[in-house]
Amino acid sequence: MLYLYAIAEAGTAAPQAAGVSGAPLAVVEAGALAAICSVLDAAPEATEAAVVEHAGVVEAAAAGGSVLPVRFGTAFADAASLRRELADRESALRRALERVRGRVELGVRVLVAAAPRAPAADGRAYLLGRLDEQRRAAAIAEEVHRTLAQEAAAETFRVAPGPPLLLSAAYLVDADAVQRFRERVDELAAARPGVDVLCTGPWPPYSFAPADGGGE
Amino acid sequence: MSSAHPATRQSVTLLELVDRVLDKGVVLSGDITLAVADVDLIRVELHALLASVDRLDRASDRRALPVRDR
Repeated sequence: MLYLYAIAEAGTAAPQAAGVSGAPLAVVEAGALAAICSVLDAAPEATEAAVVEHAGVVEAAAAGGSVLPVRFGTAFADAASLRRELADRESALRRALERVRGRVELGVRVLVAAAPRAPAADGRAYLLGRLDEQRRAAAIAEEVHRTLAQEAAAETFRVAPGPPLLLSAAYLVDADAVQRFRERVDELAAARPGVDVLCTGPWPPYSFAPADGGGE
Repeated sequence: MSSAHPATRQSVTLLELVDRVLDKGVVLSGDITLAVADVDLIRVELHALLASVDRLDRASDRRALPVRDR
């Protein structure tokens, strides 16, 4: 079977990396697209090691050009059935490849230390205190997100249920604007004592690859 | 600069990597798609591994909003 890691443009060479369980990498082309994959005897076991190996291939592929990571655990019986699926999705995948070209994904998590709470006088005071805390947390998340979104071409935004995690977001950023984005993150964190703004990446554009029919 | 402890930073990076590989990326209708149960198992194991960074555990409880384009 063919186990998939990423979709790239036709003409892309297999990255210099080993696949899941050390399997060599291959490229199957379909129209304007190329699938980076490995020939495996059986579906990979879902282990942390396999997840990290999958991510390693995607990363190596992304270093060589515009790619869309494929979600972990997708395999095709043979090249013909893989080509059929790619042909069906070609226009959406090509649009997505165009959108991520020259860009990387940065992940941001905003965490706040839970403030020590003074014992509330009664139940009502306690609930009001909780509400106030949640409102403040939402305002911080919104503010951080608004500032960072200005530096990005696209973004995903996930409000967390409340302290300590306030925000989990991903931003699609021009590769040459990463430094600037990180500086913004540091400024946001510096201006908000007690708030951690954690920036991870650059990642391949996992959050900006079409998860559905690609109709976005 | 963020005041996050380096270990926290590392845990966040691992968690972010696993979340991306398992939850994001192109979804194709392959002939074989890993059972969701298997995938969830890794996540459970990982969250257990990261339990020392207990505040991140609650990160799994979240609401997703769609991608916005501008």
